Amino acid sequence: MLQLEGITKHYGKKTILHDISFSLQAGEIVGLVGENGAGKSTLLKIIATLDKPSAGKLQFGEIDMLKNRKSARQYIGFVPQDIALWEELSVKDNMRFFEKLSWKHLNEKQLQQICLDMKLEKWLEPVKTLSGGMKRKLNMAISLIHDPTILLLDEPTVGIDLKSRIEIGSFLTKLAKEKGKMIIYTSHDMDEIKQLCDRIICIGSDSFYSKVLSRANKNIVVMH
Amino acid sequence: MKSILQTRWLHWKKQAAGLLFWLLLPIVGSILIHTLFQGFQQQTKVPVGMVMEEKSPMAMKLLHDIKHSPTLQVQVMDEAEALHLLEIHKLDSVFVLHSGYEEEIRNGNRDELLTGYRSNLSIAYTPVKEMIVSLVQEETSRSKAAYTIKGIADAAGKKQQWTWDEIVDTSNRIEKEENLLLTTFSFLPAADSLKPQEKTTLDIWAIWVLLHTLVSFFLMDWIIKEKQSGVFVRFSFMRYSYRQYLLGNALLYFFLLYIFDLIVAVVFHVVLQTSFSLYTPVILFALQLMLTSAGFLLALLFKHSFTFYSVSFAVVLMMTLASGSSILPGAFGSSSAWFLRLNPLQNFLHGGINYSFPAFCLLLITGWYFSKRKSIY
Repeated sequence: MLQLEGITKHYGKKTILHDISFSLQAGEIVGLVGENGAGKSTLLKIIATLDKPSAGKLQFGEIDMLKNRKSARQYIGFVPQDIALWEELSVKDNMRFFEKLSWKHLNEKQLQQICLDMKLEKWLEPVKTLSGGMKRKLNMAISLIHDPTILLLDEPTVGIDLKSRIEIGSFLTKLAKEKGKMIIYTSHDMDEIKQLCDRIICIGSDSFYSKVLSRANKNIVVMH
Repeated sequence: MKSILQTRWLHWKKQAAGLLFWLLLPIVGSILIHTLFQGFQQQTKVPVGMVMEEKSPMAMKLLHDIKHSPTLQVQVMDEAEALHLLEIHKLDSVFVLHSGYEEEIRNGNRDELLTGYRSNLSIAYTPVKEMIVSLVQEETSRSKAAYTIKGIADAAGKKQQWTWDEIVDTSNRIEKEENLLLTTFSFLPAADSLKPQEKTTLDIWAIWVLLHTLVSFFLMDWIIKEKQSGVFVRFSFMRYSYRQYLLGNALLYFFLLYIFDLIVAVVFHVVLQTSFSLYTPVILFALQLMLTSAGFLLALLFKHSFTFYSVSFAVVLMMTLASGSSILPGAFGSSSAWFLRLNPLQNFLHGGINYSFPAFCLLLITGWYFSKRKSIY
């Protein structure tokens, strides 16, 4: 179980996150929503141990994630908002590149299987020739090489076509339900959030998102 | 380290042509510049015809000395051909060394040993004539001195008698050994110092090291390109930290460049007969360590490739100015010695190792590696 307790973040005098607490069970997908600047990405970075909270606790099983960042990160798959790929290398070489530096070693077949599971079939194509949707899928596939338990996705479907969105969504659902991964997902697409997530957390004081989501038959928590 | 090599190999495979270009640029560039300069120098030499009516050792020594003058291009031919070429202005002047030259010298006679010809367009006849006369004068003086020494020995009643040849040979040897006025550039140990005739040519190692410095810096642009790609965020979730990855790659570049340095030393040795000793790999190792670490630190400072290239180029330009005295001996006066001492390549150019600069760079790298991270990536 992943547990956040009283996570607070200040930048100077400005409070970005205030006393955020929730937990996440295996197989659960949680959506983080909120207006721009509400602190979704900051919270995601804190959970990914890429940023330190001003106060609060972050626990994964027995691991205090704030004290043992290095060991906690072995269980985290982080999908950055920006595409973080080698544009001149092929899909295969990108996967091989990150596998060589990964905690876990996979053979070429296993690497290709991750891509195939995501409907990314252009194995030998250079990344620079791929569509936005394909790049997003590869961006995600790389984060799955070390088979993380927690998957953190920062707006993974931004700017891509509907087909790719659906494919990514169904892949994430399968990942959570069949493999028991804990997934935290940020997006501005309310339909996608409603469809994909078991639970939705609204960050920030704006009640707009909670009103929009209120008609969805979901567990919605509003946090400031 | 194996993993880092495998990941770098994926990049190198894609960049093979560009990488090879940069790796070969210093060797090809330096040989090209050197050859062009030599060709230019050859073009500016005065063409002189020599007619050798006698091929005695002394006559051949005179020919050898004239041939090794850096300003003359000497062609040996028969008199008729030489005069024809002089007539059509293909030769500046012609000198005929008459038969009986050695005997006349031995007899202390220095009149009418040579005949000189010139045309109405000869520009270098007089200085060439003066040079040849001074060389002949040197031989006659040596001969006279030999006779004088012999005479003194006889008058002193010394039992051991020296022949004229022995005295002249000894005189030649002493002149060669005690050439105190000769100062030569030496890349490696004194035994390998350049021959006097090479002193005025561009130094191949000096040209190479400047091109190589530029390439060693430019090849570090991967640091900036990879920073721009945004991929570094992934290193937080990998076995190696981003800093370890950067250092590992810098080490790979160091070894790659060092291998090419050794190839260069062998090629220069084979093609241009430069020296190669057991000390050469050590000097090149120290040089490469300095260049890679300096390039690495420089690349860490910049976010944009263009700024990095510009600054690298400016740094190499400064080094070129500071290395001027080694590229072309005499280019700087002694008043600029302080400026030359600041040049990190100065030790290399004089066949030595710069310990302080690489040590300083390595210290900075260590500081960077262990410094508190601004971000926790």
